[in-house]
Amino acid sequence: MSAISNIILVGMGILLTLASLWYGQNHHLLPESAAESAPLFDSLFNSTMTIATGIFLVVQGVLLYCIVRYRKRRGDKGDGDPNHGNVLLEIVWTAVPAVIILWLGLASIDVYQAVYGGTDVGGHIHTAMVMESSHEAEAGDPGYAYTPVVLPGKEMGQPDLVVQVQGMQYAWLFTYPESGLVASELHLPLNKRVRLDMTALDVNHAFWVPQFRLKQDVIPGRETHLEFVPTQLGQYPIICAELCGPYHGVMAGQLFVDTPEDFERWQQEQVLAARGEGSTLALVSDFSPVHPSPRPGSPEAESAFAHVHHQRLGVSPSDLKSLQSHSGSLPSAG
Amino acid sequence: MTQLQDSPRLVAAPKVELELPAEPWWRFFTFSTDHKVIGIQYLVTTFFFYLVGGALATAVRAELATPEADFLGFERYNGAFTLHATIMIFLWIVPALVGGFGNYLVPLMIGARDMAFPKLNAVAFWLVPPTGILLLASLFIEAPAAGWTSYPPLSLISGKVGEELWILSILLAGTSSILAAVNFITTILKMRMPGMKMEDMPLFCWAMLAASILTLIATPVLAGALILLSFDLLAGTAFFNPSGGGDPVVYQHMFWFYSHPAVYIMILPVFGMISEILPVHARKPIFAYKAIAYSSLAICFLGLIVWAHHMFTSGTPDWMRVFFMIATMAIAVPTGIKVFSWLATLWGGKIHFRSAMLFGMGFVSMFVIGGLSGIILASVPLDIHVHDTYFVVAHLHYVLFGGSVFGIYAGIYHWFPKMTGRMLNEFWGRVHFVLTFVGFNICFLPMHKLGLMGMPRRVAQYDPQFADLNWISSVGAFVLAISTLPFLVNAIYSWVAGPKAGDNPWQALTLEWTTSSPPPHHNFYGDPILLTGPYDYGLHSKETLDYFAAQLQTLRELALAEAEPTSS
Ligand code: HEM
Ligand SMILES: [Cu+2]
Ligand SMILES: [Cu+2]
Repeated sequence: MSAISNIILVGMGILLTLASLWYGQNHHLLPESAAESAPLFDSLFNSTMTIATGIFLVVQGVLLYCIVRYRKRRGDKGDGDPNHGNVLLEIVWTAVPAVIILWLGLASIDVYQAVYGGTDVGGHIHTAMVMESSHEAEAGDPGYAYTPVVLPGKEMGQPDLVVQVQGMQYAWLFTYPESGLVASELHLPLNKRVRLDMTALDVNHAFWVPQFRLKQDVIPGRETHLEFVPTQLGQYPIICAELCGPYHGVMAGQLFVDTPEDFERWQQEQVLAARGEGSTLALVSDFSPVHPSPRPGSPEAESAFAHVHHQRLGVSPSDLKSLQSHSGSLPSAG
Repeated sequence: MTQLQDSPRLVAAPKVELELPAEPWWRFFTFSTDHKVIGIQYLVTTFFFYLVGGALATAVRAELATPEADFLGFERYNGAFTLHATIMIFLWIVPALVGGFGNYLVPLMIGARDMAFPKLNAVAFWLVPPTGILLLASLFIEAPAAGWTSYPPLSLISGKVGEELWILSILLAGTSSILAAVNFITTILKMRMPGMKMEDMPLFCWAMLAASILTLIATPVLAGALILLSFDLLAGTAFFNPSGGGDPVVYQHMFWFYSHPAVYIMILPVFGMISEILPVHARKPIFAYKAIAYSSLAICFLGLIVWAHHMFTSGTPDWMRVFFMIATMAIAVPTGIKVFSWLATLWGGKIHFRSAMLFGMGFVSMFVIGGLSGIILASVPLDIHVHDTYFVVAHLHYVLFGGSVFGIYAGIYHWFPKMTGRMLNEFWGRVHFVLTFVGFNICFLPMHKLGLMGMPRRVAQYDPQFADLNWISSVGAFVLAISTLPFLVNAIYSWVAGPKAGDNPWQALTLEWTTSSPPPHHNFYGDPILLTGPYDYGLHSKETLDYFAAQLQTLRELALAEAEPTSS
């Protein structure tokens, strides 16, 4: 190979690396991140994007080069140069992906350990019968085996707050075991470690907060868990990510990350309000389809949700309560 | 690896026993046992279903053009995407590739007169129309609406009739593919012409072998899952029903034990076809024959142990998540070997940009994007964010549309002359390619961002912040819908009145091109002869090639002459 083509090759290599590095950091493909583990996800994602961009550019570049350089010229009736293989080349392009994969695998395990390590994501399988009783017992007593997680630079212990989450067609219910408060919105205090104990009343759902980069299926007859530390004040959508029926797309909840003071105030207000109504169930009449919604407050938004809950299912506060005590049982075919 | 050889590697004496040509057109509507007729029956039938599935896709995208659920409405929307996916997978990609191309090409490529079990073959095909009829009937009776994955408990409460129709049709489709798989494995192992070693087989046959092994191992598990689901649905058992103590996650394991291998059942034959098409139109031997052949087997093996990567969020225990992540990532290695070998095949070639080659290279280009997003999905922490979002929809279409459909089109443009004896029109082929390529990327590229930003899949209504990207995507879908028109017209017109193709319009070297177009009833005139390796492009002098051609001509004339008396 001549000196000039060597220089061109090296130059292209540098350009390629720079382009990949730049795109890996500037893809703007993710929403803001708002939980402690989210930056871990983002940096793994960015590294992966960098590698992917590099491979993408190489492969498409070679294809384009072939199209231009090796197109059949007019009048040329011959065949190409008949080389059948090249062992060295084959070894190289087996080894390079293998190394990349190995790196990505190890990095993924690392991030996974940091985010989920010790969280027994789906350890509890019980039949509906068992669950009814065990659920009661667990309230206020987060007594199941739980290994502390260590995030870089921070010691973790028991969660600061446990919330029980129930998914049902087409709403989320949040129970705060300490106060007995049941709410349709999830309020969490800033920078506190939260554990969600989740189950579903009817069909599979999935709890997803894109800004937290966390998702976990919520399954009837089984308890699944999520643990995280919200690190940014604000309001975030809780999206159901598992097909749960025709109105799956409007099964949306709201997550508020409050300052600890706001959180306390909210909790007290809710408890008081609930007492006033002689019910532990707060906010039920306040269900609103904030996300994903047509225009908030538009007639479609109102009607989609109202329609789902009142006309189709006839869910009222008292229904919700009774559903709760039958958690895990399937409504008859609908 | 095939070696340079300027002398014929094997010459068998032509044995003559022929039924002579001019078979009537209506043989395509009969219980024919000729693998070529069956292959074409599969291709035409499944293409019809592709149009139906495509119409449903267009309806789905029309619904998603705006954030409100105002076109199909919530309930009908779920039926539409469930049937779209089911039809595309079970009535288009799988039967078109395995049943269509597999049947047509395998016996020809290995010099056999037919498949090992011709009647079984016909039975396998004739299970497909009832499959389609059941599914299409459900469109009018009650559409299944629990997604093509049909997870319980949702599938147990969203409409018994539609769900049961869906189960029955998938059971029929599964039976059909098990029968086909047995047939392919036997044919490839036992029916190769004398003297053809495994290493002399075209790569398509290796890929079909791997795909058939997968089918044979995985499909019965799906059947089991569906039968148990039927019991839960109709007999009130509780295998998967949590209200009776069943575990819905067990269904997911059984379902994906089939359905993950299924994506390789769909893509392996395409890999095989691409390995046939690129060398011919680049005029170069395939690079690294053995590596490509064995990587098919590696993919087959690894494909069987990765299913739980569809279940990273299903409450799957940690050790399983890590095991399945590593196994999944490992598949990137054999897949990478294939992609790089294809690129090396193009490198230094003399590339003829015919429609078959355009779709072939389009396949490589698009499949790489699907592969890269697949790496993101393989990583547990990354998958947890994007699982069940539009990122997955983007990924699966880059693999299944960019991969399988581009591959099928490449195959049709490549083998149409052999199947029909006529050439397709090149100009309209190119129009078809450009519309498909552009429409495809407009439709599916934006979905990556949609998913990452927070749009879940399988929703009729979505957050208005996603309106713009969805609108672009829908425009792409309409371009895609239009892109089938030039192909349809071209295929129908050319089949009837296209220019005659001749035996070997591309100067290809695999066995199917040594017989006439279309081939006679038992494929070859006399016993076939293996004159060259399948990919010996550039290895033979012009004199040698002329000698081969003369040989074949003589053999054919001899055979025809001897056949005259018997046929008259
Ligand atoms: C003609 C162009 C196509 C368009 C516009 C299209 C569009 C779509 C859309 C928008 C969805 C999302 C449904 C959802 O998850 O909400 C979808 C799902 C799907 N499509 Fe396609 N598609 C096309 C072709 C294909 C092809 C050729 C295949 C081949 C196998 C295919 C297989 C699937 C599958 C498996 C799903 C998943 C459905 C589910 O989530 O249950 N599609 N398609
Ligand atoms: Cu849900
Ligand atoms: Cu849902």
